[in-house]
Amino acid sequence: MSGLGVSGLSAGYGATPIVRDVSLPELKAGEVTSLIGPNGAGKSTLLRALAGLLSARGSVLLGEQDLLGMPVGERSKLVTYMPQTLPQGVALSVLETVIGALRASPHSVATGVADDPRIALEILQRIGIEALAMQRLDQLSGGQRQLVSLAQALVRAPRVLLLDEPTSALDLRYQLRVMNLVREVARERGMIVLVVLHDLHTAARSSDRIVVLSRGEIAAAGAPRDAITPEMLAAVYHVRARVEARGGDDLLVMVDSEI
Amino acid sequence: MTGSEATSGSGVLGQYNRLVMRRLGIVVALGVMCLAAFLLDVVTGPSGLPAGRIFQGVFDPASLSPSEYAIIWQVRLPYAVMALLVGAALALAGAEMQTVLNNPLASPFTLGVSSAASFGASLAIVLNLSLPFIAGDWLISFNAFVFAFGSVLLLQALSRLRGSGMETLVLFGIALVFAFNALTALVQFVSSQEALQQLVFWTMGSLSRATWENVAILAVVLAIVTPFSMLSARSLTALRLGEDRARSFGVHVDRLRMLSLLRVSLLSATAVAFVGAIGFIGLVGPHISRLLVGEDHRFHLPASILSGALIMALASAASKALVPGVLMPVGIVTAMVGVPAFLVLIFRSGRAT
Repeated sequence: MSGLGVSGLSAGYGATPIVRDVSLPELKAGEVTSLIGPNGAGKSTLLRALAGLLSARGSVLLGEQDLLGMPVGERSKLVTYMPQTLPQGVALSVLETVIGALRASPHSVATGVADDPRIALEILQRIGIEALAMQRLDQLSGGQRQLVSLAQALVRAPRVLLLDEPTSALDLRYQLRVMNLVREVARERGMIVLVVLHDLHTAARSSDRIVVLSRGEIAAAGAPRDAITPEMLAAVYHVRARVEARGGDDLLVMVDSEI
Repeated sequence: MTGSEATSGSGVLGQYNRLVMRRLGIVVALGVMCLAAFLLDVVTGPSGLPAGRIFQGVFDPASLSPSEYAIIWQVRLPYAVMALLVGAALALAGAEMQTVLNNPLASPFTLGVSSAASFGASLAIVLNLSLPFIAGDWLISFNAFVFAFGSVLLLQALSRLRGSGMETLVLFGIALVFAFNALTALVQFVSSQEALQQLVFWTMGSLSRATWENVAILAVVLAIVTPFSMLSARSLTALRLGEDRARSFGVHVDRLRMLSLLRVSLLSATAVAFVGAIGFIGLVGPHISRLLVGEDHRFHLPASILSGALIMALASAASKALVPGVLMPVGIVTAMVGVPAFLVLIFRSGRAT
């Protein structure tokens, strides 16, 4: 399956671009890529630009298809963006929101396989939260809401999944669960996943690749052990740190002091 | 999938189907209650006509005496139908506003549409405006409509100019309420005794200007707008999950919001043009619906329409029954019912956050 090629991408709010002329190594089908970097580096801006939520210049190609020039409806069949949070006070049940995600617009994913409630329920079962199906969204805990949010994104079966800090509100167990799930589903479906993460340890252990963004530009990219290095941490995060490999891409980052 | 998983899955689907059926049932029940409230409204009144005689007169107008005919066909029925239509229009407008502006306190009344209409009407009354081929009464309604419609367009334009979020739009709306109320007060201050009386009556909101012609106009507007609202139901539901998310699901959020506010302005401007400023229906109707059927807009929109119509019909009946022999302006009654509901709402939402 074809990958996602991003080159020369600039995007921002108003006149000043926050992300400048960014080119990413090709994002491959079935792989999870983490976008890391300090606050204000432009991670969310880059993600939102790829999702078509911001006007952007440059080229974003999924195989032969140009995603930037594509109408909203067409793009929504290929790309799904998951924001950091779900709004509060929504009087809908979990299952309803997942069905709603599937049927949001006339351009929604063509199903035809089974009826919508069944597809929605299958996703909840896959994530292991079918017991929550009939609960109201605003009665759930933060972690549960995040899993529901993920279900809303996955049910659309996108080719490209963009996740904005999916683990930020979660405890350790849920962090692990969300990221393992994302990786599993990515491999299973050959989905291209780009995820903004703050926690370097989570990023290292759950991604095939890391892209480090600093002040709107790429500072490093590659396999976790190649991208997350003491030199990068000093240059980008301005901290003195040690990085210890513990087999595979499980890295331990120990921060000693500010520089 | 194991056997137990399969059963639990089909169990959930069964529950979901029952939920959908229950919501349909609630919508139908609301419809039946509307009909009952409408009948109650029609048989309530100071003239003391027995209910049997009224129903007979509805189906066989020829059997009525001229005065009975006038009471039933020129007062009771047009007022009662107008009450249903106004309630329906304002509640639908409120429901759409609350969703597209992402604010549970949005309604035609709280964001200045009603105030603008009052100001438009008061200008027409005081300046004694007249246009060729348009009778004076119509001109008041027409001017109210122009101002109400203009206020929503102004809201859109201002927020577009500012290019900022929905909170700003709500703030603009509140500013409009104060601005138009001040202007109306100014007009009242400088107007003659006679105009003042007419004006005060107008700002209270009353069904007494209902005629078959303006009932027909509002009915046509409602009949044209409602199907478009229902076609947007899925997109509106998706919008409740957040703007970015809805956009990524393929919803044209800007277009949805613009068309929705256009529908809101048509509905609320037409409604307030004929009955004056009627508060709280547009706010409370959608909230009652939300409590009953949730926010799947396929049910939420019709349930809002019916809740609004129901409250308005009950308020209309109450306005005739509260003080025997006196027909109170219905706007006073809806506000009296609305304020406690409003307070409950505020306390509830305060606890939730």
